[in-house]
Amino acid sequence: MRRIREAIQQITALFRNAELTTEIDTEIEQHLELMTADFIAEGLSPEDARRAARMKFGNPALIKEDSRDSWGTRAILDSLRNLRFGLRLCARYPSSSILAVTVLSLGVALASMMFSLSIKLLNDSSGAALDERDVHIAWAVGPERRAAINSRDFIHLQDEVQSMEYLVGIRSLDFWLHLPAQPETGRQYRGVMATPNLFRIANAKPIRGRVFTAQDVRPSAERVMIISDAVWSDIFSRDEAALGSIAMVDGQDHRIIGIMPAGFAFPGERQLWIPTGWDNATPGTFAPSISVAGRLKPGVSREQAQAELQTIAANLADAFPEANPERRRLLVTPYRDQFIDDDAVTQLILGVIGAIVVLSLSCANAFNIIMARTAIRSHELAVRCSLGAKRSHVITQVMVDGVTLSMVGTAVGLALAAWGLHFITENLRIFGMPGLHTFRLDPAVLFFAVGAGLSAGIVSSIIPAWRASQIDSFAILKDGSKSASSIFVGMLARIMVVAQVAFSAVLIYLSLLLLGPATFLDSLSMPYDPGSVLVAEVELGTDPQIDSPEKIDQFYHRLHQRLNAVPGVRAMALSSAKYGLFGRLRPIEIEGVTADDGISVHQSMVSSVTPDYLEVYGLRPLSGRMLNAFDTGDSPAVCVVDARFAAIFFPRKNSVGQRLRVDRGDDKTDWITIVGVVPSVKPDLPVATDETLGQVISEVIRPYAQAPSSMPTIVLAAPDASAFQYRQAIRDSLREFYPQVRIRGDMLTTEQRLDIVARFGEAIASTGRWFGGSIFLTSIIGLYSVVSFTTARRRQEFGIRLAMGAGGWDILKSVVRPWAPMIGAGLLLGAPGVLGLLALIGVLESTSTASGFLEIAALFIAVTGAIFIASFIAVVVPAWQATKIDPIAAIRAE
Amino acid sequence: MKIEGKRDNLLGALDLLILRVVSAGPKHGYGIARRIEQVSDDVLSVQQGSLYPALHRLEKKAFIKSEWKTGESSKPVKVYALTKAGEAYLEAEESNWKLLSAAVKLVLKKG
Repeated sequence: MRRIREAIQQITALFRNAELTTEIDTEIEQHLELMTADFIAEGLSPEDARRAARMKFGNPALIKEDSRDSWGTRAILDSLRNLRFGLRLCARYPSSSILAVTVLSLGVALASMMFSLSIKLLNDSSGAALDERDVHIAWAVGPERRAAINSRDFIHLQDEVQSMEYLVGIRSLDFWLHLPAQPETGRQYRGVMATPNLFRIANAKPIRGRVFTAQDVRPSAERVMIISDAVWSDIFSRDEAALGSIAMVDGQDHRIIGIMPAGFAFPGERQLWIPTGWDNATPGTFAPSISVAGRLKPGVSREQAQAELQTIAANLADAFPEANPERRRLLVTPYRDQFIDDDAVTQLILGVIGAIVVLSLSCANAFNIIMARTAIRSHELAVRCSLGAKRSHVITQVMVDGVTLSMVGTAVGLALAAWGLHFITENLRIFGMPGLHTFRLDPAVLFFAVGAGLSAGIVSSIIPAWRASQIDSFAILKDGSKSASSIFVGMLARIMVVAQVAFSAVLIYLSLLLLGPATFLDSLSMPYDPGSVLVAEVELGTDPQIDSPEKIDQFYHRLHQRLNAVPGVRAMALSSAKYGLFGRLRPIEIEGVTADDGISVHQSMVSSVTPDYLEVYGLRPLSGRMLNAFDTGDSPAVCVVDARFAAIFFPRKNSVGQRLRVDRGDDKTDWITIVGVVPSVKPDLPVATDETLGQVISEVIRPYAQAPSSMPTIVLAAPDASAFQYRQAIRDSLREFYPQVRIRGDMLTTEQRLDIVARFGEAIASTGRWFGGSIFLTSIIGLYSVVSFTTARRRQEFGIRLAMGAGGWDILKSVVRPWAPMIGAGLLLGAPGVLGLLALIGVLESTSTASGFLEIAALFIAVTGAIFIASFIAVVVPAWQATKIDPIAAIRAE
Repeated sequence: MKIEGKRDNLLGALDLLILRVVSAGPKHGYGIARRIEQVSDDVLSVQQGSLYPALHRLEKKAFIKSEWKTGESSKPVKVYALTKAGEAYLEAEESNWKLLSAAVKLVLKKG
């Protein structure tokens, strides 16, 4: 209470500061008058009385100041006065102010953006307050890999485990949501199917309705769902009637029983939640894999839970060996770790280091500018010193200049950062995942930016301030600019120039690397019309009807018949490859090629397809035959390989008739005979020249009937495959035969998919261009200002030299000469910096060919060349201005 | 006898004297200085100017309030009066002071 009262009094005093000053003056004068009158009454003469009163009172000026200080408003008023002074200085030296604000604002903007993106990457976490007792359970496959648990094992675990209060089984899926009878309102959302206790582990409460209960997953229960605040807003325009209404999820009606608060998207960025007990899922190898989390019972450690699960794991592996090959150990890890991976932490560290480097570059430039303008102000500072200004006053004055510039720079920088983040968010929005890529200036970023800006201001002005406080005011007032130059820290300024050129080289190189993906994607061309192939990934495991390879075969035939009947459809096939393009990278053994030493490893992308696969892409086998309907599960194992595979492994002989094994090392595995060579449906990637990389993208294609997958990709060929009717046809066919089969992700043509990737590449390239451009600009401005200042202070010298007959070329040389070695040294120092950067981001590691190293070197030479030319211009412009000096005017002015 | 947290008492003696004087009724700065001299038989006659920083400090703490009043002369004079908070503070500080002086007296007597 007392503190509040005092604060109110203080604030009031702040607003009536002038009045308070007058009051103090008046009451002290009155005091002296009253005292003088008393002394006169005691018999002293008026003059003696006044003197006696003064003696008894003390120093009125000091007492007035102490009285004002009693209100504690001095520090605030001084700060305001300093700010006003700082702004006046900015206005007095507009060109250097603009330059300093530009470099500082660019530095703050870039650093804040890098910090914001890094924080976002790290914070893309669970979205719930998980603690030590929340754990994640997964199979350990080898020393590095983890594998999800299938739903049947989950049920078993749930029944057996004693160390956990409860388990949660979660599967992330994409859902197509629309209002009943209004399919045009449909939108795709990322959601989850999970056991009802998902909300228990997330410790979350809905803003409307309720969360799931065990009743919601009973076989007879009505289908229900919970929606996010964003879905409520998008689809229902926040209508209160949404709660309790029916909406269609993948063609099935679900009642909305709850709406979660804004910002809740557990686990990760999810918008829809559908309950399941996982007990009606397909048994056997087709049971869907789910992410399993659990809550430890109080007092149970993670190690104890791990020991218990060890026993259960062994039982599971024994009971269901076909579903759990080589899986004998269940790992219990903190659930939180699932959302913060090592990569994100590394990216955060790199981002913060990058932000600090960018900020350091701005500091180096701002330092030079502030140094230069302090030297220009040395006459004014000398006058202040000779009028009694203390050393601390001079330091404060220069620091105020730096801090004012940095505050203005921070404000402009924050505006630039906000715009930059908006730009990035808009560019990443094309991925259609609302909320996933929203970057904004949150309080942490604002705090960082203000802190960074102020630190930049203080760091860049502290040395100029200290130098200015040591000035010899007598010498400056006597000699003028000659002594003023002594403030300027020549050597330090030169070191700063070297550092800034080196930093710029590294950062500009980094920004050019960001152009790489777009350039690479532009160079790609598909060996067929990508607009004519529609791709839909489906998950069969969620439908209990599909529980064997035969049922998958039936699924294919039904879909094949139904879709081929749709007007316009030219062909349809299933492929186990992602997007129909990328099979799984597996170790392979090739008879007569792979050494039988148990160490040599060959690898290739292995996928399985149905017979019409090549027809979909309008391609024909190059030799031998394509897989056909006679290649069934009962017939001998066969495969076709792509031309790249044939060229790598059988350069001098016919591949057809050769044999290979997938997942080598087990003699019981059957040999697979190659029956044909087919063209690749992937673009002809330039990396194929390297044999190791060539293997990685080579293809082994098996018949779907011999290697079925429960997550196939439907590929459908039609003249304009992006037309709505084909997507609708796939949806209708699935709904008709297999209502519980789920479509994963968007149904897009290969062209649309490539377009998205190309736009992503372009977004990265734009970021690179802006980043590189800003660094380039900052660097050149810094260099220009320091050269410009040093040239200006040599005006008199140039005037004399010109008067003595020196030519413009001599002046130009004498200006450029001191800076050329600095720029050269900076560029040389940039080389190890770039190598360090490349090593850090793993480019060096993945470069193995001479041409790869040549490319790196060529890019570096291009960067150094550009910096050299720009630096040359930044140095030559002031030098050229120096050659235009009028000798008489220059000498007279001094 | 244990005395805790009273180290500022000697420094705060001027505050205590001012509050005691104005507790008798509103007074201007000179009046307060004169009153302190009179009642202490000029023992506490210090430089009168040092009174003003203390007066403003007490006003900031809201222990006293000020007002411009026209007194015997035609000029308005700034007079200070004790506030409720000042009364409470004075009471607490007086008892602390008594405690302190008793302790000092005890040490001087027995030491």
